[in-house]
Amino acid sequence: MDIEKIREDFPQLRHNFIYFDSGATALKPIPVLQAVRDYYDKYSTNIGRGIYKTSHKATVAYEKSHHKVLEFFQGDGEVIFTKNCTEAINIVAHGIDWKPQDKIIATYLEHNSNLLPWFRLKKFGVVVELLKCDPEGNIDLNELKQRIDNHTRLVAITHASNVIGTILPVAEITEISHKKGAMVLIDGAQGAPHLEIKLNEIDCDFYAVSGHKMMGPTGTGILFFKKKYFDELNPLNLGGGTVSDVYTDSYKLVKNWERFEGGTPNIAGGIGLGAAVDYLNAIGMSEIRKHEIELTAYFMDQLRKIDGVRIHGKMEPEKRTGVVSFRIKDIPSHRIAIIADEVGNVAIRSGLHCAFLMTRDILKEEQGTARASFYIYNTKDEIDHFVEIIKKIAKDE
Amino acid sequence: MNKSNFEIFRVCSRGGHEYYHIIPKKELNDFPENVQKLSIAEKKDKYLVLKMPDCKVTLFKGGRMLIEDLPEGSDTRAQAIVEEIMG
Ligand SMILES: Cc1ncc(COP(=O)(O)O)c(C=O)c1O
Repeated sequence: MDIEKIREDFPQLRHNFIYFDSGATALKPIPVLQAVRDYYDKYSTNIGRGIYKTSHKATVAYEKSHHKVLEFFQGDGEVIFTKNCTEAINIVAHGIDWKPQDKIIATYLEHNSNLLPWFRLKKFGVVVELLKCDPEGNIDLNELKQRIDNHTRLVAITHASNVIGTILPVAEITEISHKKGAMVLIDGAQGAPHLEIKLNEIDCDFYAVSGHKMMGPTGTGILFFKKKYFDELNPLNLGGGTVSDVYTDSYKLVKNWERFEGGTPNIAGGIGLGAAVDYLNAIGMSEIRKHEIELTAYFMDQLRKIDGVRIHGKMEPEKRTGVVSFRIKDIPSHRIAIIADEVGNVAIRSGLHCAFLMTRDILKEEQGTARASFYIYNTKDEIDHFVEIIKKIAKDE
Repeated sequence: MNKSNFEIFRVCSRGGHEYYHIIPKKELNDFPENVQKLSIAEKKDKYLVLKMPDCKVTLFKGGRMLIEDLPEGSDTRAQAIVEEIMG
């Protein structure tokens, strides 16, 4: 695999810019930019409405993206496009008819986007319980088994931690939950862009993804769900495109993804997302994973040699994604990030990473952590450059 | 140069911690002279860390700043700090 060649596909990298914040959103390769541009240049029309040729072309391209995404995730179910992962999770939270005393189990590892939608359901009498994890992100599967009772309808859990990268045993969690009759929603925001996802093997009921973190345009997300939920899940938005017929006081919903994407969707974004999937497929998810493990191992090795640096999470790179949280002595994480940017043009994330419970309560990092997150376009040279900055900060302060 | 020559952004506000990111509308050539009157906790080539009574401030030569760890809702205080640094 020729990383230098891959890097040429990312225009932003031509400007001496080191991007270690792919955990927040990925850079977009030229084929994605081109697909969006082509749509706007050549066939920028609405979908599913016009009878004219360009509208047909847009409809086919947008629909084809759905098929590509479904194939990419190897799942037997439905894929609908959303504006981000947060919306995908909220669609499930709003879409299920909850009853008082229904129980939802989530964990301390979750991003706020996989907590707040469930907390809000408390007003309907839904009970939300949180499973603790250790500082490496391990949860106790026996405790999970015990916590799932007759009232438990959903286990909502992340595929990989956005703070420390820990990859969770989601297939096992799903099996345990299903055996006890609970549905499973996996927040795949940090899993989908970096791991080969076989939803048929994981067998979860819902899988939520940030399209923009897997090189799709911003404003794109994905919700996968099993076919059996097609009629059970109430669409968030009803209106144009969602119905096959309307009567004086009722309506009949269509029988495909359009049911869940009311109104004009992000057509350009959806088409770009399809191009992103093509791009990832062309490289191969196993190659991406291999490269990220190598970078993560290399970075952690370098960090370990620096006095005053503490790394969070598992030390085995193959048990985590390329997300590495660390602190340098007690220097506030935002200071580390601003120095990295100002002095070295390195973009990293700092703070609590929208995972307050994990960062503050489990890692005990009230001031947050500095977080570097890698993708296929990053290199060891970039890491070397960043490590020099870290060494300087650690030595000077 | 006073505070109107700077844009002040709240970095994040959570559980009582507030950070402010300050960007000069026009980059400075060097640290403002006024910093000599302030307490300098660390002095580096490209930046200083200033110790204020209630927080620390990282100040870069070009005028970019990070005001660290003020209580929530400290916008007025952040503006006053920028004024104080710029003199
Ligand atoms: C684990 C996790 N879940 C959810 C989200 C929210 O994703 P989005 O910004 O696409 O809504 C993120 C984003 O950082 C994340 O890391």
